[in-house]
Amino acid sequence: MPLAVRDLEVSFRTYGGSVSAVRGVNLDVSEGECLAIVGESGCGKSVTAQTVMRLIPSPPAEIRGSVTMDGVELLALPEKRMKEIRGAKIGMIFQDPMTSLDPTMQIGKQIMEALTVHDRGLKPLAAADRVIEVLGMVGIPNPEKQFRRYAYEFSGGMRQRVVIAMAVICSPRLLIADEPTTALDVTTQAQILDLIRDLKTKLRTSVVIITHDMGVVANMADRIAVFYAGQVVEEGRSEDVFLNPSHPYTAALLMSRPSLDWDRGQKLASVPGTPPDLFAPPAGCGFFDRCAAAMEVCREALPEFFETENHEGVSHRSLCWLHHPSGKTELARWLSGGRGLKGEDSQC
Amino acid sequence: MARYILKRFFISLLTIIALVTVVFFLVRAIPGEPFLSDKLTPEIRENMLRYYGFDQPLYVQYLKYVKNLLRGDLGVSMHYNGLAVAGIIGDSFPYSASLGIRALLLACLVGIALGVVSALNRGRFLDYFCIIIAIVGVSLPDFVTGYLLQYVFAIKLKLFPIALWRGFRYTVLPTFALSFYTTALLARIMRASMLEVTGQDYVKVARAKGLSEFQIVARHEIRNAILPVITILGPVTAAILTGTFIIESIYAVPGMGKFYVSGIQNLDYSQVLGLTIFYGTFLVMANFVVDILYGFVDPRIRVDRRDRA
Repeated sequence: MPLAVRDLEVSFRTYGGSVSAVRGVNLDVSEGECLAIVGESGCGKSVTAQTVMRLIPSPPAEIRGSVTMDGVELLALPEKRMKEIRGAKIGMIFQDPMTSLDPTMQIGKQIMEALTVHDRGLKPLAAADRVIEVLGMVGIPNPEKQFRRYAYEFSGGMRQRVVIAMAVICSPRLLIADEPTTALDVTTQAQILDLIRDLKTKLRTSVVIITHDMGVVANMADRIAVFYAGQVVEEGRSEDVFLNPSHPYTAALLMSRPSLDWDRGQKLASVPGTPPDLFAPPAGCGFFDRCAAAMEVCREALPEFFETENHEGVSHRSLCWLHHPSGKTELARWLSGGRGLKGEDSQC
Repeated sequence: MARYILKRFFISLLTIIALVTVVFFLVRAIPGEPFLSDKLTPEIRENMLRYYGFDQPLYVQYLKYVKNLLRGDLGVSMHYNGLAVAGIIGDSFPYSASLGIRALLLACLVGIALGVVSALNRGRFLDYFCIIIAIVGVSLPDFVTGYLLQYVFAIKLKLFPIALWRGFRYTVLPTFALSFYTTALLARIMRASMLEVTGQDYVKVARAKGLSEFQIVARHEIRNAILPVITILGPVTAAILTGTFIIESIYAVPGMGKFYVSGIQNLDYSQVLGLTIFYGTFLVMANFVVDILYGFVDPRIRVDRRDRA
């Protein structure tokens, strides 16, 4: 398994107290699979990704749980061994291509660096050839000429291609893309997503894509993990999650998207309220205050994962009391009552 | 790049022309005149003024001065009888330059190193140690540092000669004294700049590529953090060169400082003018070099229209 995350907890000590950014996350990414991590800002998506790469300095962060890659426990690895994994086994694409490149170094050299740091014996000429090859692969025209250029000479989309080239030049087992298209305009977004999907097939790498854009997910992901307040609240095959969301938060998220066949003046639904304060995480469900289907038990006890099955018998999991055997009647009421958001029918 | 250099060069040239003009008229605007001594009879005074051309209108004197200047003639000192100003510079400047360059190199090396070490150990003992050095260095004036080093290392510890300029051992104390302020200044700038760069995304990207901390610092952080240091190298050169006046007199270095001071005291027009123009030109050139260096380090600076494509 390229990546398995078990009971991951990350908290940061600040002057205002301890913030639990990630609260018991379990994730699996299998061979050649694309997992999308979806959630709003501050729900722990990026922290999870950066913890996998061990990019979060600890201390001050407190990290518990386990992250394994092909059975190797990354969290316990000495820094020296971890360095050999970063860039070589796991490539990472960051959010903002405008700041991800060193402004004073030729982009070719920056990409080459990612290669030569893991393969010391490589001759500079061979390395440069490989860089040019990868530049071509990520869709940069005239790669030989671009080698000596600097980041400021490229547009945002082109820069993101350079960043992607850097992440994939060692053909990593796993590619983590942390909101790779957030800083780009819509047409460029589509191109970059196509590129990532393309590279995934070509390099046979597994992909974790972090996003808050459901459109991105629908395009790419085999599976979805919905994050809320530092937890995975629903997880399953993308079509199951899309067509049959079983957590009220997922349902609300899916309903808060605009659609092309809407009438003029139709209002975009939003999820009322705000996520819980992670300085003092709630005892029960984090979505309790915002959930139209909330029950008394949701306030008091953290829900467990319950499996739900679609008509084909394929199951996916969600962290919600509604799916508890004795919650079924509530579930039925919730399902018939417009899924908790007033005045909207499901768009799915 | 060639265009960039050419442009910088013309700007430098204009600066020098402005400098010559302004200094020429400013020196003349100082109250008094060179030959105000009770020992001189009015006739002698008249003769002297006529001899040096001071009886002619100011603009004629100016044009004449510029004409001579273009041939490299800085005029003759009025105080040191018959000595050419160019000759005075030629004799004394090598000492000043030698001291200044030593101090500048020392300041750059030590200052940048201190700044980097300080930033990498942020909040720890080494950081505080460097910060204290930097604060002391920026706060102490030249003449205090100069005498203090002399007192401790020459008089008490007898490690180095107290003054004069006769070989390497003699240069150590004045070089340290002169570089102290600049070292501290550069260390502070470098530290702040390093801390800023450390938080940049591309540093995180470099880490995600698998680079070691040392490689990240050496290849990405220092190169980006050094830009503000290079920017102030021009003014810093100025500070060090003007600082030499005081340090030179404390350590009895036979440099230009003494002639500058005596020139102003005696209202020796040509000496003050000659030295100022020489120094000014030197500084303008220093800035010119810094500008070009800057273009080499930061590719964004050297853009011209053709490169932008």
